[in-house]
Amino acid sequence: MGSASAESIGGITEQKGVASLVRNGGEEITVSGTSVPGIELKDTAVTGNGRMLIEFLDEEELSIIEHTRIYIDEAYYDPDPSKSKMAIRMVQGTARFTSGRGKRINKSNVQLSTPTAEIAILGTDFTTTIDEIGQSLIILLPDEKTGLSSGKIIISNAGGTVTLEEAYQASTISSYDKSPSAPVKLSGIDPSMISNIFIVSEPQEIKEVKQQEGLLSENDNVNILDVDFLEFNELEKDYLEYDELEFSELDIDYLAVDFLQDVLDVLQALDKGTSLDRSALSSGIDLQGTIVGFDSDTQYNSIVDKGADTIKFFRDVDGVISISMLLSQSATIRTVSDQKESEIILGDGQGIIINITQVQ
Amino acid sequence: MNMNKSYIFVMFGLISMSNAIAGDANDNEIFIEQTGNNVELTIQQIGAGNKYGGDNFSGTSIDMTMTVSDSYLDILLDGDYNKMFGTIATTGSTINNFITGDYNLWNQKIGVANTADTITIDSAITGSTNSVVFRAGNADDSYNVDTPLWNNTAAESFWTVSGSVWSRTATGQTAYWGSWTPTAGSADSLDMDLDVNGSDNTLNVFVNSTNATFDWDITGSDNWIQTTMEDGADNSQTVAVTGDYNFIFVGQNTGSTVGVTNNAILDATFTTTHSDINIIQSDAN
Repeated sequence: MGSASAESIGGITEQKGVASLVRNGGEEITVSGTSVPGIELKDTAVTGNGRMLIEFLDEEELSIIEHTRIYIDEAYYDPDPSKSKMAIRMVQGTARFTSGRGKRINKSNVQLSTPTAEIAILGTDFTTTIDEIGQSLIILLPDEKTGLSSGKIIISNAGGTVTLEEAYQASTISSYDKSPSAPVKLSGIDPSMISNIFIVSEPQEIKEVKQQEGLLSENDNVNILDVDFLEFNELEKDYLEYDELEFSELDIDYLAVDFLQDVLDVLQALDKGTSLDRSALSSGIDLQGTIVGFDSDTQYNSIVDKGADTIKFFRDVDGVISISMLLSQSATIRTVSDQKESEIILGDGQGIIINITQVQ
Repeated sequence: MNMNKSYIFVMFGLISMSNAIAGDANDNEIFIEQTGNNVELTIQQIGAGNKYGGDNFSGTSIDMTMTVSDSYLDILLDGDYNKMFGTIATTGSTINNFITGDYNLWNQKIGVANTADTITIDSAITGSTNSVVFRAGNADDSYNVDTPLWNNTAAESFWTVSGSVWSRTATGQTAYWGSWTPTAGSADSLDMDLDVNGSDNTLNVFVNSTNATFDWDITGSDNWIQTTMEDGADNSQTVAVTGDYNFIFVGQNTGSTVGVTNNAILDATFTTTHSDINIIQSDAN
């Protein structure tokens, strides 16, 4: 496929679906089978429902999957590798970076960053996943030949530093001033799946560590250190109103649709026991298997209308499913798609059995 | 009969209790063969045991055949044990089917050879124990009242989809159809509404058209409802079911164009208990 032009610092070697480059001046160039531009300094690589693989001059590879945005800030190649430099900012989505086998640039001069951390590499292969509010998930991948660690990456920000050294070790970073989570080794994946990795929601191991460390976001748990007890005023709280229930159809984020769902969760066979723990009992609704609002795991938006005493389950992946029912009803909604299976239970789940199969 | 513009109003009134109890007598039979454009037709039969269809109606049916375009048809059956069989090849028409009564049999096909372009169909059934097979834009004659795609035994089992073939096999089940292969047609722009108010009704509705919208409301219990939509882009169903012990199967297959992802849209409201609801959405290409 495309080769680097005279001014380029790399080329696009694979492309599928909707992908483009935005030049520094704002010009957007669509990447297609017949038009494969070279990579230039200050380019922004953007994918919609598509992917691309960028290879830089020193053979570094940057694999970008759907709905991802990457800034290529700098790539300078000097005859003296110690003076060469590369800087890439991963802004949103999921990308896999494989450091080059060339000799044009010292690995210590490769600077990678996410909105919440900086990553120093020592001959490595890893993925980053960044959500819409900048939280990052970084996983060190194995060497494809040996299966052992591909090297070492050092993740640092204002909150601290964490080093990943073993294959499949992972860390999440919720904000720039909070330390990256302690490394956790993920299980249930192998190199054959890495080339098709789609890590969008957090692996269960990461969630557990964050729970232990009190690092969950306000939607999950609040860190005890974040609580301002002086602001506590129980009498002002209206227990008839639940913030989760304010999620409405207007809040549906159609861009949050995960067409290629979390392989890690799939690999762990959807620990249904755990999944069912993600209930909405805290909001007064006997709902298991999903949450009120958008659930990135099931891809359902659950919208409660307390006035009408109804709940709507809306899902827009491989077809649109919208199911409304009374909150007082009981139902089991089983959904099987190409990627995964989920089960939502309202009440005791015995009243209505709804089986949904979606395939592309 | 061949005309450019027709106005027909036919009304039959007949009450025969004995025939109503017998349930399959030959009271009134209306057999229509109509060809033309801009036809405005209203047919109403009042009473029991009436039929729209052919002359061998006490046994197997012969469809009444209408080849009309840009027309307006009202077909009404008021009473019990009525039957309506018919094929209407049409484009650009509005068709209203209204059945009021119990134990009626409705087997109608609108749009033979996939010619159901730009059609609006508004149908309503008020009554119980009615049997319906309705095909819009679907030329497959193999579907009829006696051969539903599936029975509802052990319905909690998932369907499986392989390519464009949907199948559902499980121990203890008896399949009338082990699988179903959606077939792309060529009809376009279909707008259907179906309201059922009653219980113990059996409905099989097959839609084959691009840009098809199908809104159906069921109020009643113990109904057995199967709908399929195939072909085309962005087929949409809006469903409201109120009542208990209903079995519902909804199949939506889109994607007659290779490489193009077309959405199937299902917007359903269920107010029910003890119901078994199955939904399949697939994009064949």
